[in-house]
Amino acid sequence: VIIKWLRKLSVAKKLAIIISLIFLILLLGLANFWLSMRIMSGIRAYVGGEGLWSKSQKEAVTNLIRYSVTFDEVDYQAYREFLQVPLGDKQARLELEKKEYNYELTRQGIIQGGNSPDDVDDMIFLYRRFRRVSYMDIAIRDWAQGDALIEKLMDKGEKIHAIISTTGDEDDPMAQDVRLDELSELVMEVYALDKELTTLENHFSATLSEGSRWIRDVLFVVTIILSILLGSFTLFISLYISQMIVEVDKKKNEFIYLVSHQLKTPLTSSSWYSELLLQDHKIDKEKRRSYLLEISNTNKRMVDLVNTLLNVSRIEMGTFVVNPVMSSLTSLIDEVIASFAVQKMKRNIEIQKQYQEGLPSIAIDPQTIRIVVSNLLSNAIKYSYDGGKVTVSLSKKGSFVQIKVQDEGIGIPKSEQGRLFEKFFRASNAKTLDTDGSGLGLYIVESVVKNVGGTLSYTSAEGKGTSFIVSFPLEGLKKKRKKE
Amino acid sequence: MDTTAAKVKIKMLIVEDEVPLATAMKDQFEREGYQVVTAGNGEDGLEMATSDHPDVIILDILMPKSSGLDMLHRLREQDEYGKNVKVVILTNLDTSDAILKDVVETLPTFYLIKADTTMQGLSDKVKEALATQVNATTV
Repeated sequence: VIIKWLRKLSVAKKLAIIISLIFLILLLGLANFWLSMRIMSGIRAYVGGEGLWSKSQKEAVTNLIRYSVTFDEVDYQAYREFLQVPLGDKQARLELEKKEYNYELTRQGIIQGGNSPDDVDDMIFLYRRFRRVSYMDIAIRDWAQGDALIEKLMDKGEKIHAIISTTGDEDDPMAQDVRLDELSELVMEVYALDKELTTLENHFSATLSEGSRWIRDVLFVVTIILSILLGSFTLFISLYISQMIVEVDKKKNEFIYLVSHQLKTPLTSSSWYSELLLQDHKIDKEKRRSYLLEISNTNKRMVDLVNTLLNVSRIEMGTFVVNPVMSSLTSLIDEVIASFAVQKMKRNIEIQKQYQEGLPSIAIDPQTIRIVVSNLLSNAIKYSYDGGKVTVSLSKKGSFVQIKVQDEGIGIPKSEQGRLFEKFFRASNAKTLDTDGSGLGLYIVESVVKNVGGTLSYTSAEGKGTSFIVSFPLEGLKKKRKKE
Repeated sequence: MDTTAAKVKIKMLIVEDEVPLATAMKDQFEREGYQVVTAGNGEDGLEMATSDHPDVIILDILMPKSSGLDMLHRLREQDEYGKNVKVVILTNLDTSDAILKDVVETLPTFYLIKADTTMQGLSDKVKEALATQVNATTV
């Protein structure tokens, strides 16, 4: 179906489609590359960030525990300082969870978390775009859980600080013992929290690593697919273009054949017969008449061919003028049928008319209808068997008026039907029957009918006959003005 | 063939698918005293050339079934007669149309373009082609 559709398009449109497809694949390739780079860079930044987060968390715990032994305020301050890293990350995470996040606050948090300012955008990108992707989702849960544990740690830290900074009775050994007991209890809890945090931190890294391997695999497959697509597409284009060149060459040869054989031949013929008539010796009356008839026929052939070529050129240049006026289709078709009297008689063909009663007048362009019907009728007569019947019917079908030209002639071989409307195409059985034919008739009919908003269809069986159906909308033909 | 008389008719084969052109040439050459037969394609032409051994062949190129050049190729390879028979190619294809090689290989006596050739001109060329044939000077 696609190939059939492609066949019908003009060369310019085909090339435009091909070029846009190449462009699209290249864009996809670039997008794939850009996305891979950002994702990988984002993951690297998060894994690095996790390292800093864990290190600071461990340092904070170490300092807090040392503080509980040394009671030195410096240690407590160091503990608080180290906590700034996980707290910065938390600020960023909370911001990014919001529907509308504040870029500045997020950036500030990420940088406070010890990350490089250059990584900020990739980290935000990964978080926002892939929030719902399983690996990212699990890692973020770990992170949130880590933040909750940090809060607990801070709670313990404050309690430890409160106990140490409370100035109790230094000389009361009982009171001192209670303080130390409380402290060691808190330190044990801090140890437990630290252990939990270690497990979470490891899980976070492992999840992201697993995610990055998964993304690597996906991107690898996508890259392979795109490369194969691009490769096969390029191959297809090369094949298509080379085929097109062959085709153009063939068309050119066909045109040379057409002009040489079909224009030069009648020219030669009329020149030779004139020469025969001009020679000195006597020619009997019958011969003289046949020579003159031949000259007249060849002239008509030349006029027809020149008109056909002109129509093709008008169609292709878009200067085919259609000027619809209200007219009667029946009388127009009668006129066309009458013009085939000689051909009809020569082959002893019967032309039957089947016109539906009371057809309305519609806006048609007489010249267009003449070209369409006379081409179809000429084919029907030419490819009928001697003594055959051709039926021309005219009827209303819904909002269309239908002209049908049916013959009982040689038909069109099934294998060649697809090429019927190609320029210069002539079916093999038509060529054998009659070497005189341009292969332009149906090309013109199809182009003209489409041009005015009509449709053309046919049925054909080899050896049994062909019928062509042209439908025009009852509201009339589309007007076509000459392009300026 | 009437071999006793001095007026031995020269046998001519016209291979041309365009009936009006074939008819015009037939009328012209019969009037000039040739014995003319016609064929409408290369295949029939080869058959008639093989059986009748015409003295000269006027040959079109573009024809249905078998082209004039195909026919001439086969005729030239066929036998001594085929190799030596005088052939005037008369076509509307000019030699730039990718057929030059074939034309050179098949050795026609003349290559004429229809649209540039008058009946008189064709008649003169046929005589010129036949000029080397001593037995056929009686026309």
